[in-house]
Amino acid sequence: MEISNAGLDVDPDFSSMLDRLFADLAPRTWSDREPAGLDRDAWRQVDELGLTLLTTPEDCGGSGARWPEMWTLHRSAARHGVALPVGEHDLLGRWLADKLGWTAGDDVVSVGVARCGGAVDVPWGADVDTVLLVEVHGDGAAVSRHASADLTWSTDGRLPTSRRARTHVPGIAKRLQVAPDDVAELRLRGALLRSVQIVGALERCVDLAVEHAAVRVQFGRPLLAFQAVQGMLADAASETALASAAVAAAIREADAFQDLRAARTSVAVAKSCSSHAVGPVTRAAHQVLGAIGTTREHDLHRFSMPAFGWRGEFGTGADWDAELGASVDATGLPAVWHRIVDGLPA
Amino acid sequence: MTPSSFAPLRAEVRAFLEEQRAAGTFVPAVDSWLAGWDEEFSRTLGERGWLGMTIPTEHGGHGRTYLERFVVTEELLCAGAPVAAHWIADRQIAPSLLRFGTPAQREEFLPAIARGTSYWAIGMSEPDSGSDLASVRTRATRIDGGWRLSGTKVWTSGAHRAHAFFVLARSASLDPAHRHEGLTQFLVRLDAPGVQVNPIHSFDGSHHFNEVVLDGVEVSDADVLGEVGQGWRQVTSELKFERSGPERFLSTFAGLAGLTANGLPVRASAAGVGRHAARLAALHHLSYDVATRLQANQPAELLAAMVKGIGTRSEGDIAEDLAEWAVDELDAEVDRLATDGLSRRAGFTLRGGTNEVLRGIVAKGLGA
Ligand SMILES: Cc1cc2nc3c(=O)[nH]c(=O)nc-3n(C[C@H](O)[C@H](O)[C@H](O)COP(=O)(O)OP(=O)(O)OC[C@H]3O[C@@H](n4cnc5c(N)ncnc54)[C@H](O)[C@@H]3O)c2cc1C
Repeated sequence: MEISNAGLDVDPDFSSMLDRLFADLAPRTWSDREPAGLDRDAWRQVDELGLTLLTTPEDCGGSGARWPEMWTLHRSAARHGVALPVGEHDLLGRWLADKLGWTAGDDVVSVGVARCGGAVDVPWGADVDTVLLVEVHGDGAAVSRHASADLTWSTDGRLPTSRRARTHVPGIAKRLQVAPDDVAELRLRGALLRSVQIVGALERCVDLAVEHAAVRVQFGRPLLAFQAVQGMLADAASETALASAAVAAAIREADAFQDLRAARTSVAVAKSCSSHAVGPVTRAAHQVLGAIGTTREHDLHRFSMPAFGWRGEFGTGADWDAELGASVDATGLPAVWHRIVDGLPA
Repeated sequence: MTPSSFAPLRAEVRAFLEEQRAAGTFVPAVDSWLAGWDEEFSRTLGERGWLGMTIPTEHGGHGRTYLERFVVTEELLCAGAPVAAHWIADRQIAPSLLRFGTPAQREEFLPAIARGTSYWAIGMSEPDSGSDLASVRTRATRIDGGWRLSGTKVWTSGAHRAHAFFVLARSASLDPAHRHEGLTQFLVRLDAPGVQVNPIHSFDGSHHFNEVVLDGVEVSDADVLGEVGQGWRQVTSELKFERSGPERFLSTFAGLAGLTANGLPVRASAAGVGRHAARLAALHHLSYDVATRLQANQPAELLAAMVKGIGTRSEGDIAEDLAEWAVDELDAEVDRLATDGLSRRAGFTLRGGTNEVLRGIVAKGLGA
């Protein structure tokens, strides 16, 4: 699919540099053995370019980049299927650690938000160095910090290609309080990250399906010549373009307001639309690919499966829908709508 | 231009609409861009400078951008305001006249379109030519100083009230190897001798479209739009304006707003309402993206076809949910919004090119 940045100010050189880098790097990060682990060489290579702390402020050791660069990086990484916890580290782990005044050194950091009862799913939990576990309670949350190696991890039941692992928050741990606003921001950051990644992954699913349909011949014609196939591809591409437009708008607002909470309506729209696109787009792509798409040998699952994983994290589509619906209930549709189309902070 | 730079213009339009609504000038309706015919309202919009916005000032317009027009039309649609009288003229006749019209045609029509006093229809479809538009059979025969038109147009929205319409006709005999050649567009006045407009009633009793019989209607050479034989190219260039606008997803917005005005209906879940709101928001962004491309003269056909395909389906999905949520609602106005939405729903995914045909256009754009 044509890459549209929907009016975002994105440096084309940065964008093409990332595409070259990730095209080369991504296959090295794919390991089909269990446990997969984190490819430290690949991590170092990305780290040396300042990409693992892309949005972390310079005074915290990061590159101090803004949301449009974040969009370019994670969309590109997901388009190429790079399996590295760059977003978890930069946008969630280091952000929270810096907020709490914890120094992380060269550790790779991830974050998990516990459910009641203490079970917690952590993306890349078993593979990173440091894990921050967040326990939300009535007014705010408590965060504890752990060496990943000190926790017991289970990877049962996770999706193919997924690196999420499940643990329990240890009963005895030093806990720091974080304010409700910060908990809300953490969720928004995660939702926006996942939305961007979903767009990148779905774009690749559509590309793989279109490329396949152009060369695979049945009944003497390429699949692309069959109207039923055209219909599936057109719908998949349209849903992907729709999600991309929604996510780009949220990025634009996040950048304009310099405060993610002021952009929360647009982040809700972005996570809703990207999450709801995952089912129809991956269904169509897998259908067009036929049996080959169900194999380990073919790459399609490296894009379709992560998209499903991201769909369920930091609020499902339905969760964000319910928040938007509650706003409509409270203030009426015009007020919510005006906030969206006016592009003004909430 | 960021979206927020249009907030003052939006606020101005909203304040005006609020005032008009309070004064009882209009009652919010679904599908008001096709069915809400109110010439006085159109004239008022013209006085405000909200019609013919993209027409240059030397042609009687306002020399504003597509994005400004986008913003104003979006506000009008969201309010469910009666904009049908001028809609086609403002949306697609004016851009076509600017691109293909003669100086005399521009002078005659553009200032009146901007004033909200010149109303138009589109004569593309025929009884035997729907999706396959190139198969139109209306004949244009050369006569001294002009053309004689014979044939039947159908589904012509607003023809019973409009002043004129663009007729796509075959001006040279069909060459099966080059079906898109030999077509020409004509400006035809609907009160011309030989034009007969017969109503076609929709199943909900409304009358918005018509059959228009052209029985040897004579037009002069001055009434040819653009070039003889270039009708197909001209018509397809019109379509990107016709397809991508906010009317392709906002036809039922007034219904969704009406049904949720006093909190969510008891039958609706917050997630169900929120999902529609999120999707409409995304469609807004995508359609705005198309308007940005139109403004910058960048290719927009593929995205325009996408907006129309998914937008019309979404506005129809809203209509379905509204009808379900309205069960047990006792407010007659709310009932009317829901039933009108459902009655009009079938047309959403047909008018302007059916969704199946659009999918083909999108797939070709992807594969090319
Ligand atoms: C409310 C409304 C207002 C309208 N206003 C106007 C107007 O003002 N001026 C005007 O000229 N026209 C107008 N139209 C007509 C409109 O453009 C046509 O309805 C449309 O082009 C489809 O033509 P058709 O109805 O003859 O359907 P057909 O072309 O007969 O198609 C019927 C169905 O067959 C399928 N189909 C057809 N061709 C293909 C294909 N190639 N591939 C796959 N499936 C296909 C589709 O599912 C399609 O929905 C209006 C229509 C409506 C509903």
